[in-house]
Amino acid sequence: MFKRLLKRELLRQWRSRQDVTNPLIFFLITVSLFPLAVTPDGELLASISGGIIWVSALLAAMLSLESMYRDDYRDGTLELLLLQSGSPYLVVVAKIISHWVTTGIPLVVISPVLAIMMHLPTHAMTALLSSLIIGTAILSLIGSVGMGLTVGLRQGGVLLSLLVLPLFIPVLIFGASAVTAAGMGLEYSGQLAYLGAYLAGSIALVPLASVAAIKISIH
Amino acid sequence: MLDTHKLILQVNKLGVRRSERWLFRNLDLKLSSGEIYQVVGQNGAGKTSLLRCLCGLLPEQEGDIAWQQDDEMPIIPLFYGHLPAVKPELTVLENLLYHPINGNFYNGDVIEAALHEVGLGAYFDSEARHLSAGQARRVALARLLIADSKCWILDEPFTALDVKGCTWLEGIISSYVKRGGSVLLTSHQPVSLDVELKVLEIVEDMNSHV
Repeated sequence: MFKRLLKRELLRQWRSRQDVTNPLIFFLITVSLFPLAVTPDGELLASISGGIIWVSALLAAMLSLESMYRDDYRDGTLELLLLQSGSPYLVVVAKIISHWVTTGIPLVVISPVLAIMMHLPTHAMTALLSSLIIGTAILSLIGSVGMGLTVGLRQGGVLLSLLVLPLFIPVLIFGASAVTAAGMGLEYSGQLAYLGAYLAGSIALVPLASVAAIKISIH
Repeated sequence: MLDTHKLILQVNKLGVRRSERWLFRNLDLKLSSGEIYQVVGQNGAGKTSLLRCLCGLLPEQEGDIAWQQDDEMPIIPLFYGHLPAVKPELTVLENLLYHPINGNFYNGDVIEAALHEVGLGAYFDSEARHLSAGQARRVALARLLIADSKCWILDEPFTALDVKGCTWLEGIISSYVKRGGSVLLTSHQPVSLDVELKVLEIVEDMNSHV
């Protein structure tokens, strides 16, 4: 049951690869513009690279949120999925997982390349990867609630950012500070633990909130 | 075979409001198996709202809707609305394969048979974006044939279908009702079925209307 829902989502994403590559290209471009605009000086870049990569990843993930429910809402699939799938929670969870796999994971995968370009100290690489893995999962989860609420609106983009950004801020703070701490050779497990706690909390609450949000939008 | 004259849906004193305006109030309806109702009313009277409300897509402001139990599970109606819910990027076959109907997914054989029945036998592997509006509606109609549901809720099912398609759909609905299925439908064009078609007219206060 769940497998087919997930397969449906992944197949759809695969068929519309353009939408999936857009955030990646955005991520690539924003990060690579910083050395041009600020300075190519390695020492300065190394100290700010963690923050830059994190901010760009967050914005790229936000860009891609819209594709989560929009198309399904417009062609009537979303309401049928809620009605006929037996459990709307499975639908939402399948969508979140597929969003994370198609947006979050690719961002994590290309981030080491950008990190090298930004002179991020190599001993901070593990911190960057692990914080981004957890962070992008949280972004997909929280974004699903925001997107569920705004999917029925014609110009929901600005409202979506206003709704989800405050919830993303803690993720950004802990994620970027984990990378900075690791760059200075300090312990960063505390920040990761906070991210993990945030992730666990989101996993527990987001499916309920997303389904409620989508129901409001459909009415 | 479904057994006949079993109560499927009972609606008591239902009222639906769109912002400040009541579309209708005090609507009573009893739908049993083997019965078909056509919901009629002017544009904007609330036909679609009523059907969506019965499916649970719109909250009711008054009264209650009780779907009866079937094998200890409340009956889920099959809703066929204005939007076909066909994904343009998936093929016709995938559209049905990966779309849950009645809480279940169905397998290739049933789907292929249904697609032949709706006249899309030659389009299994073409992407739905290449289909015409009428063909996309036919993909959605195939869902009615695939699932063994106790109740169909059809909102303007004849839209975008050609003349032959309309006659075919009327035949499908008639035989479904004869088998004991129950149907609620709206339609702006005359429907000719070989079963008794009951009419439910929507007016603002159903009490004042007999």
